[in-house]
Amino acid sequence: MGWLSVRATGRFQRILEACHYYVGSLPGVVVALALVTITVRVVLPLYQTAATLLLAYALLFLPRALVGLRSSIAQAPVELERAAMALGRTPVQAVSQITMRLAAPGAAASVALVALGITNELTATLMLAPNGTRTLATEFWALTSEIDYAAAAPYALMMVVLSLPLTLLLYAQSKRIIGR
Amino acid sequence: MTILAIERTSKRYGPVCAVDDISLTVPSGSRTAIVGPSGSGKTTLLRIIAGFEAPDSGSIRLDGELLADGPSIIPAHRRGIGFVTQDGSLFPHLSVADNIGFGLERRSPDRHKRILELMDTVELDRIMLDRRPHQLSGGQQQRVSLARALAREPRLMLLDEPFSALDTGLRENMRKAVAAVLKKTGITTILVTHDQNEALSFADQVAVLRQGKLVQAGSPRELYLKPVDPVTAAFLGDAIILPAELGDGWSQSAFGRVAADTGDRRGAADIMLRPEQLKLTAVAQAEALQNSDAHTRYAKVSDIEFGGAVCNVVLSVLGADNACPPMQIRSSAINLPAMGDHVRIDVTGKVHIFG
Repeated sequence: MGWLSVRATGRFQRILEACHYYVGSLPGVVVALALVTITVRVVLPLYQTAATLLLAYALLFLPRALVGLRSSIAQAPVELERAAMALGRTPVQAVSQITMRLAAPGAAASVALVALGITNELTATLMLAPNGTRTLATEFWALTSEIDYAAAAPYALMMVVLSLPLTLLLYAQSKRIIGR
Repeated sequence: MTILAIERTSKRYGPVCAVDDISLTVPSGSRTAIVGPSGSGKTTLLRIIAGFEAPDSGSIRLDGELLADGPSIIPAHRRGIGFVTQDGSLFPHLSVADNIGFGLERRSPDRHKRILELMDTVELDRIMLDRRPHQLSGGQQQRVSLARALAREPRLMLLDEPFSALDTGLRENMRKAVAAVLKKTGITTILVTHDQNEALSFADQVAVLRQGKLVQAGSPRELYLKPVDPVTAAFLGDAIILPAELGDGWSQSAFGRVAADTGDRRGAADIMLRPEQLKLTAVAQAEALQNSDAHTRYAKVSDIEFGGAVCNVVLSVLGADNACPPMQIRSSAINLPAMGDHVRIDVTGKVHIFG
């Protein structure tokens, strides 16, 4: 999708991309409620399964990944793909060996961004996760709502600690881009 | 022998005809320059030859093999055509060695040897082997790019304004170096450029493009001295274009009577002179006023613009009718007349008559 939105800018691709951003701008609770409604009404077996939760995460966080990926693909000029093709690479090989390779740091940054978001995600997790699923965010939320701050603190700390390497990765990435 | 034959090729982008019914043949082992102002369709034509674009109609043959027949084409990676772009298009994540070796078989035992050979061919220091593209100068990047394209021993080499991103001094050196390398390897080359000097000095054959159409193709000398129309004349260099009356082997104009290949043509026509055909000799005012007639022209220097090696001299021709505007002529700084001087105008060679 990221590659399409940079290389083949047609009307259809623009609409498709806009859909992503639109969903991404919705609050988590809206997406979660929508999925609850659909799963309960239409496909009950899927209600509160990991599959539905993953779908919610994809809807919520894919746009974030797309933004990062799109800009890093845009930084790999099409001339490089052409150069690779003139050197005997098929179009698919040219994209995978050159464009995707150059977009890799940006893709990694996107993964980091998404991982950060998912670690702290609360509403969709609460509504859609199978019963008994415990994430850091849900535990923290459960304990703070019981005003047991002392017990909640370790979870908060773990979220911060887990986020640190990702944040550092993102920081390094942004410095690399500026440094160039 | 013809290696590349482009036949009646056209390509449209919406309402714009980028390439309009172009036919061109390129002899084997030759160097051809496609020259034209920006937007003339020269880069589109090059992309069609390379296989990055498909023509709407027309055909392209390389070595007798049909590369494009209308919109159905052989893709770029199966054409065996080398391509060097304006900025070199080096892969930024690969070292110089890996860039040059990109088109070589990865597991080939003499890969490294071949890379070193190619570096020698393009006169690139072997110290550069492990450097990254961003550590190289513009000229070095172009050499790597050329070596990378040469590695696959292409049947045809396409150069898309490869020198225009370089400094003026370096540009000329690179042009000579690249011409020498291509001559040594004997690879047929097509150069696209908007710089007419580059085109004239680099190529055996020059093709002038304007608004998607092929205006004229021929040897540099032929194009420079016998351009097909005034616009082409002015594009290829400084030109003095003026109306004249034709007689049997001569033309009569503001510059007096000058030899011309008139053939059967008589009467009014537009003629062209290159400024270097004119020679100015300072004379006394009396001589200028007395001797000025239809055969020999004298002029008064009305303005001078000193510009170092080449200076602009503005002349008002004596005895020419009032419609004749002041002439701007480039002259060398040696023997430069002073303002207000009188000069005799001598024309060497023949004038060119536009059809």
